[in-house]
Amino acid sequence: MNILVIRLHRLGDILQLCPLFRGLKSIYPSSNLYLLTGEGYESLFIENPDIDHIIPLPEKKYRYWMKNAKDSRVFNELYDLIDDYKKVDFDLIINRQYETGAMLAYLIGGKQVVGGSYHPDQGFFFSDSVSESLCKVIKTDRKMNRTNLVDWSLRIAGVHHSIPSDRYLAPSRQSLIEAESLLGGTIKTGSPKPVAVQIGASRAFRQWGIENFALLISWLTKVKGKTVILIGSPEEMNNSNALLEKISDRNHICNLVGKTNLGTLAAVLDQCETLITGDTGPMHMAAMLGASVLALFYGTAFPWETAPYGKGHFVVFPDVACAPCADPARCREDHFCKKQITPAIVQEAFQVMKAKKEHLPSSGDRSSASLPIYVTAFDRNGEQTLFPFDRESESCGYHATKVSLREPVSLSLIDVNLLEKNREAVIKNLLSGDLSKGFQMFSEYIGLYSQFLRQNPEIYSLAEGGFAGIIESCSRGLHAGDPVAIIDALRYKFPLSTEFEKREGTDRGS
Amino acid sequence: MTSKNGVASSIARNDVYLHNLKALQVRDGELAGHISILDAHSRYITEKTHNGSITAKIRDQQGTFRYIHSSIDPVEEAREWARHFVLETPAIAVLGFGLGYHLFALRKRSYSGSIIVIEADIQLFQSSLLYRELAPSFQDNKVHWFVGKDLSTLESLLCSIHSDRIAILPFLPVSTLHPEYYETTTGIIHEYLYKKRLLENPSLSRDILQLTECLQH
Repeated sequence: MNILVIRLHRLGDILQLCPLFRGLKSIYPSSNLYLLTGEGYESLFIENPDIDHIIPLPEKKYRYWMKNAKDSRVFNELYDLIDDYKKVDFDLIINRQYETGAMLAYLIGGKQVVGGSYHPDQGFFFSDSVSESLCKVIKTDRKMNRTNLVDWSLRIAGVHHSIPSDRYLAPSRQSLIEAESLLGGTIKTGSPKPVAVQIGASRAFRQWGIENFALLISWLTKVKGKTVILIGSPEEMNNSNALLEKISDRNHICNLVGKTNLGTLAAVLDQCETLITGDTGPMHMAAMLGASVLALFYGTAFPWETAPYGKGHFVVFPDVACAPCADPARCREDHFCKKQITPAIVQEAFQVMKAKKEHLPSSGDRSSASLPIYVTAFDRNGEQTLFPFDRESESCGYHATKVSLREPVSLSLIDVNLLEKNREAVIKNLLSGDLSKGFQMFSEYIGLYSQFLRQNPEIYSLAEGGFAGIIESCSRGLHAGDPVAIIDALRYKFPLSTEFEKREGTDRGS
Repeated sequence: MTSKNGVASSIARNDVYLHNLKALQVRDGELAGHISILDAHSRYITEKTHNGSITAKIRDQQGTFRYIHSSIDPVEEAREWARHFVLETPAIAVLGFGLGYHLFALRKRSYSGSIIVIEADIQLFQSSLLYRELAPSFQDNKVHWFVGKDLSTLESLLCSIHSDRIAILPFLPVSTLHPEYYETTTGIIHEYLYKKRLLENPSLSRDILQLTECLQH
């Protein structure tokens, strides 16, 4: 059985499909599962055993080409892609990308398409009743929805009876190594795990505010003795710098904003006890990794739809009359919902979350009856639900199975296979792919290799002129923009085992 | 061994070159004619590699040498280049011929479709005639040569091949020496395929155009 899942963009929406992949594999264990997703996101799923094939679609490149009058290239690449995957003969296509996904599903062809279909005579339409219901609920009665989008996806695919797991995503080994290098000893062996904080969100109205985060982080480090790791995209670097200026003692803060890619972000979150965040892509990433999440929901964010999936996550959500907001840019209440969430409330949520995790009585003063804290759990049908913290009933907590993709890997011996895989990828890009990407990947390879040499001193001695010698010969190649010099160096100058045979002739001096 | 002005000193007594040129004369007399009257001073310096093959290098504007094939084992490098491709299309266009190692690597993979060899630099192509036995490739009607030609004539070559799918395989160490030429080449191939597909499969093409619209938003 061949199954195709289509979701092209938005990190959170893609990650929310992880339980669907697991569900499909548990119901159809011998199936071939394909994921058609935007180029760049595939790095998250390289070692995911639930997905057999990833089809990356370079949407951004296509948009760039179209802006530069290269429409025929986009047309031809899509034509070829469709031609290639028509041959797979899909039994089931699950489209979670609405119109664009529906067109792709129609063109690739499948015996059954769910989640939104297309036909030239009909345009876009729903061929399954679940998708139709979802659309109706979202468009007409969003506030009444009590089903998480993850469960909607499982229902659409007909695999909603699969048993929830506690971990759907695992960082790749390489990402773990890169994350270790980024963290640079922030996490000490035997010390408590750090708390990650995501200060930004893609849209301004979803940002909680620098002052709030500064107060919260100061409390975490000073009062709770936590190490805090700041995460975020390069666009959020100004915010993180402004935030740090407001905090006097930064000794226990590691600022990784703008320094992670998707893979290393997953690896960093995998090392953390908790993530505190708004409704963001990293929130879904942490949840899929099995880390606990303390999420702040306000504005357009609606926890019944998109709360972190799993059991035991905490959500702070002021359920005001106008929530979830349909148009935050024209809010008449001066973002009243967001202002309800004070640093004190988040601190209290953090305390009760920690107490619950450790099966201790809550140490916080829970006098505030209006404290809008919810806890995620699974209902008796195995679907996610939310309980106000006070009323959470243990008996309602449908327990997730302890099926893990892989236990967190202890860091971090670099093996030869990993280096070889990386070397192949660099060479492939330098010979026939993307030259600048190849040079960039080569720089990353140098970092990995230097760690490898430190762990293998017997190989260090084989490197001609030592590591400095290797770097020198490569830097000449980099300076001249000479891919051949780099390829030769990679193949013949970087010993990977004691059986390495020295080869001459790679000196690129002019 | 480094041979400066390698072409000039080698041509007169090089049997491989003369044999190649003779075969090329039969296949593409115009190209053979151009090559035979080339200025003997080549910009490319050829030298023996560690494993006894030949490589070539060129000095860039900063005076630094840049190699176009491995200086250790260009055959292995070409094999590695060729093995990354899924050779299922009826035609492929190789962007950058260099000294030709990668054409041989492709042929070793028993590819049975048409191969369009595109090389911007006739001087570099002349160097390849000195060191490699190319006559069988010149005699093979499935290998099409487009060397140093005006790109306005490329479309007619593509039309003669009648393929509705052409994989474009750049050999970056060579193709990045003339980026504009190969970028234009890529554009011409895409435009050709685009027009051909619109004409031959209007219904599918219309749907794909609609899909591209969707992706734009």
